[in-house]
Amino acid sequence: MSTPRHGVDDARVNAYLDGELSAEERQAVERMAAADPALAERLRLDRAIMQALERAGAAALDDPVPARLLRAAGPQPWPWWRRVAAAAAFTVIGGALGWHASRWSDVAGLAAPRPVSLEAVAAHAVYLPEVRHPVEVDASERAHLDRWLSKRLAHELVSPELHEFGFHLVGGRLLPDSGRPAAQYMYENSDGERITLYARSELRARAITPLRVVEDRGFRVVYWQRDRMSYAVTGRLDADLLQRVARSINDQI
Amino acid sequence: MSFSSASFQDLVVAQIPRLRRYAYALTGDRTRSDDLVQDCLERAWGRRRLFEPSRPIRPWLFTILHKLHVNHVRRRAAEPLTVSHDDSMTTLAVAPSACGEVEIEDLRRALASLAPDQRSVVLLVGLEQLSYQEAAAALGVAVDTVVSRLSRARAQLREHLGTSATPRLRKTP
Repeated sequence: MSTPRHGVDDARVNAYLDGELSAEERQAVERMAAADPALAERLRLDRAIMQALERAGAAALDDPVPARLLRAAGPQPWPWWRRVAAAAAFTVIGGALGWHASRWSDVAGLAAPRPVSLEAVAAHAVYLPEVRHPVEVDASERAHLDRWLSKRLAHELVSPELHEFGFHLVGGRLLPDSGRPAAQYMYENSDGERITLYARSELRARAITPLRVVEDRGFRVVYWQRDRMSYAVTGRLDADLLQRVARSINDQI
Repeated sequence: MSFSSASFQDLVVAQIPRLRRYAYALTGDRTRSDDLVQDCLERAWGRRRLFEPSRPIRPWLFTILHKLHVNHVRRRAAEPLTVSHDDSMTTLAVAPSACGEVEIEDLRRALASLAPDQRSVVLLVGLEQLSYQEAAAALGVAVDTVVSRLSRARAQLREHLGTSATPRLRKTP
């Protein structure tokens, strides 16, 4: 079937099919098709081809997306050669200086970390509903908990007192955060309302940042960074109260 | 703000199936097309601050994908672009079409016979629903070029598929 001349521009017919025409122009093409069987036939065939294309393509959309593509759509890990180079450098320098072990986590933290607020909310949402296992180490072993988490985060952590806000420590746990250790302390008040304090070390130290408040998944997070550590307090408290809790924590740690 | 990075990521992830589909149509090879999509996603993440959130993300991503594809092809020293006919790839693993429709298998052959430039236009406009303007931007050509390629491509597809499909088309109202 060669391209027939229809008394209507070929490009216009395509533009009609592709929704590129105004309502008025569309009606003009439709009037012409009503009076011209060859044009009507051509439109039918073009539409059938487009529908076939749609059908042929539909199955491809259900193909499971490989993990490597999902990873590529977010924060990027270092390229492998930089990881190898950095690991080699730390092995040499670290081995010589003896601070290899404590810095190893920096190198092993391959992925660029997601914002602390996101990680904190995610961890909060996971452990909040836990009745039997909300924490890994119970508040009855508080000193051990602080020592353990301090050691793993290579930073001295002290579980803050939040009694003035009506919250007592439930306990804490160690969490993975972009391949690096992070800590979560959980607190509860007499109504069973829970808040969590999330802490992790950052690759770059900073002077203290102002408190920031974000809301996500129905939770409120107040977070900040001080030196090499960032902290996030998450809960359903109102922003003002949560910020007071955060300031109190910052004063204690 | 931290959450805008996350919502950008969500927007992009939602487009991955379409990017893969188009990349496969361009390269005809599963591994190469996923490599292409991976490059595209990494590039998009690296440039996320250049993305204007009020605009649709699909044309923006297809533009990146296409540029990378052109570079890949150049690197591969003018290797011909072909849609493979014989591998049992998921795009075409669909139920046989009902009477009165264009057979998928016929369509596949017809698409494979198009020049790569023409095939791109058909896929971007006909399948991925880009406007002429967006397709032109994605391909780095003028809108007029999109219009003329589309005319030639559709004429050729009709030529391939018309004889087999037309009689059956007439059966269905």
